[in-house]
Amino acid sequence: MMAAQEMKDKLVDTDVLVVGGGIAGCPTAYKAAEKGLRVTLIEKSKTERSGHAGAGIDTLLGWPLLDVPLPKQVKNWEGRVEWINGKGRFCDANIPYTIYKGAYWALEEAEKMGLDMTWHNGQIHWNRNRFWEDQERQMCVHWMDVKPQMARAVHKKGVEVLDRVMLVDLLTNKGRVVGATAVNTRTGQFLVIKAKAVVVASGPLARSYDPEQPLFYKYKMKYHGAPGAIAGDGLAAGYRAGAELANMDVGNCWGFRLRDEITVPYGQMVHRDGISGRWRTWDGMMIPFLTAPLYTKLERMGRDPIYVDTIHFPEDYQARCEVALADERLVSLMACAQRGFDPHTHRWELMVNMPHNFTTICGLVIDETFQTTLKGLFAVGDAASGLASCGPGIQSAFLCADGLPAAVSEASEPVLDEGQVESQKKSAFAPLAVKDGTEPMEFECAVRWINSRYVGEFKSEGKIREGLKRLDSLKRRFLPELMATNPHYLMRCLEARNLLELTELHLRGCLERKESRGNYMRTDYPETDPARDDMVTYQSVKSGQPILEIRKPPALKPEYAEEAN
Amino acid sequence: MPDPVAEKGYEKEFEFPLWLLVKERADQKDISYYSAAREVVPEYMKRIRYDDEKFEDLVIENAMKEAEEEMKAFKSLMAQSEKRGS
Amino acid sequence: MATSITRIDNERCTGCQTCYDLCPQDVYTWDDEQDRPVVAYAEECWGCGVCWAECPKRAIEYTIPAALW
Repeated sequence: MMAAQEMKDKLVDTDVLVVGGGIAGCPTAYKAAEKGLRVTLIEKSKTERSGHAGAGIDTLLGWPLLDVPLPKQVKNWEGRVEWINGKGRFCDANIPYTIYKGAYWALEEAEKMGLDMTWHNGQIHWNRNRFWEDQERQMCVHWMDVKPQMARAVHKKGVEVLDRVMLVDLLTNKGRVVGATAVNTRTGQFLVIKAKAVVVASGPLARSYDPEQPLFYKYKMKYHGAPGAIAGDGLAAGYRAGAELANMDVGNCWGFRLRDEITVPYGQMVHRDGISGRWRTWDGMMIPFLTAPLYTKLERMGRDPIYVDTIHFPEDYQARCEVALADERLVSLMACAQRGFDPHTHRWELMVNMPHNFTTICGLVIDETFQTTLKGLFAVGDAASGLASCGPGIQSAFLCADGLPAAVSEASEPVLDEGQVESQKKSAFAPLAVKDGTEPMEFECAVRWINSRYVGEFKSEGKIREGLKRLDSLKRRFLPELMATNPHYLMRCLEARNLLELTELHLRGCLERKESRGNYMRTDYPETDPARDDMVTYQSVKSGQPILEIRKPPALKPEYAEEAN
Repeated sequence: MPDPVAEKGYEKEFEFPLWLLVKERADQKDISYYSAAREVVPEYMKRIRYDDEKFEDLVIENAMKEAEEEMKAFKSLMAQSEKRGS
Repeated sequence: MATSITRIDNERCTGCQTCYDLCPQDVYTWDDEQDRPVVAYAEECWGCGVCWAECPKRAIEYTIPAALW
């Protein structure tokens, strides 16, 4: 095979570039193509089985109640964020408003795309969730094959799908996005993509903490919230290009180590048609929903480990769990047996409830048109601050794409800065020339360890400062020595670089949050600071200088607040 | 009280009924596990009372009653710890 | 080198490339001579099970190794 450096660059000229072919990226690409735009989608893995929903999904959140005014639903949504993050607003209220307003339109769009939104009886099935039933609806779906179906639809619509292609950086000119550079993770070919609009759909930040990081509401035997490929690629590239990120201090930083435990997700076992799994201390005392402060308290009392079980589920509900398992990750049906798991008698240990398991509110700052603070750059799904999970992923995708023709027609013909392209290519390929350097996974693990040790559950100024010092030292000493012996490892080097940058932002954000709130705990500031109510951390880079601002996120617009449903 | 730790010989004693059905179909037709699941899961779902709201109501009611009873220990523990100021 | 979660049964494998094509973590490379997949990056597999479930000949063995126990 030709060496990557000798291959000719692949030049792409398109209207819309979608970064990420997951459950948000695919509908975005589909809808944009349906609107008559030229669309290119780049996907680091293979679109048919990539992203969170790669092996399937069984529940879609984010559907508004029909008889509740939207402003009230927005308040409910904010309340659920508060439950994890503590008191206050963390996101632009107009985003959940826009999602809720357009949710059922998006449902129709999903049906038109060929997705089956109905249940076994040909009707939509709403999960009976007695904890949330006055707040939001959850749709049950049998979506083991949603990704192959989405991929098929996207191809059929004429989207140029480039699988095994990872984003390197965004291209900008005169303060707006004009495209991106990327690399094929198998051939090593460099891509230069000209685009009038770029939509980041690359998922949340993940892999930045040591693993064994269970998703809060779910069960299991050592589950990882995000599949391995997700590493915040779009967030890092967006930040480097000048877009603003929010909530990097309290946002979702799921720990994930590639060399780690099998996850055996159990779907929505914990809220299955009206009943839920039960949390218990080691000696059998039942506890309510767990929060990090409660876990800490119980740990201090010697009542940990904490377990969750479905021992009380009647057989009919055990069967529902099996179906959920099949819908979300078929292998777990088989793999459970290897672990000797019997849901009738066994319990899963809830690993230490690390407080950095938040509600995926960190990400690129967007407005209600899904435009980021960088002109021409949009974000949908988990990559955007204020959006979380697959339902809003799909909803935001259709809503964003619906507005793209206007954005594209406003955009002038993209002119690339050749110097920028060359610089990005040189930087991306540098690891290929390094001999006897540092393997990217070792570097990534070092970053995660610093995060876990010096930020972790109980933060304090001294630790965070030490963490920043170590991170900086690691960067200076080892980042230039990242070594890739082939394009696959080049992908890991690019991810390692992204994770380092995003972790640095996380630490800087944590340093400035001098309080404890919800799952965010500081030993040196154990009280909640009322001055930080509704005050969110925003981070961006301007003229090469990192900027950190603490300010209120936009409240619901007066015209929305007044609007009856 | 159920024992969370491994019992001797626990491996391979229990396999999900749905898994056994999927495996059987896959072996029978010599197809992938996904292909088998596509056939078997809808069949399996016919045994489940998804549309029986009365049944679900009863399950939920029982679960809530049990939970309320069980939660007393936790509530009392928290009340004690509040008193102690911990 | 890490124990692999997945192992190919080369007798059953027909060389269809489904696992190599779909793996979200790019764990496999392709041996053109043998016309068989090779688990090249075992430590990067997180066990999603896509290859195991998609293989038309069920030629992939999926085992939880000690490190992930």
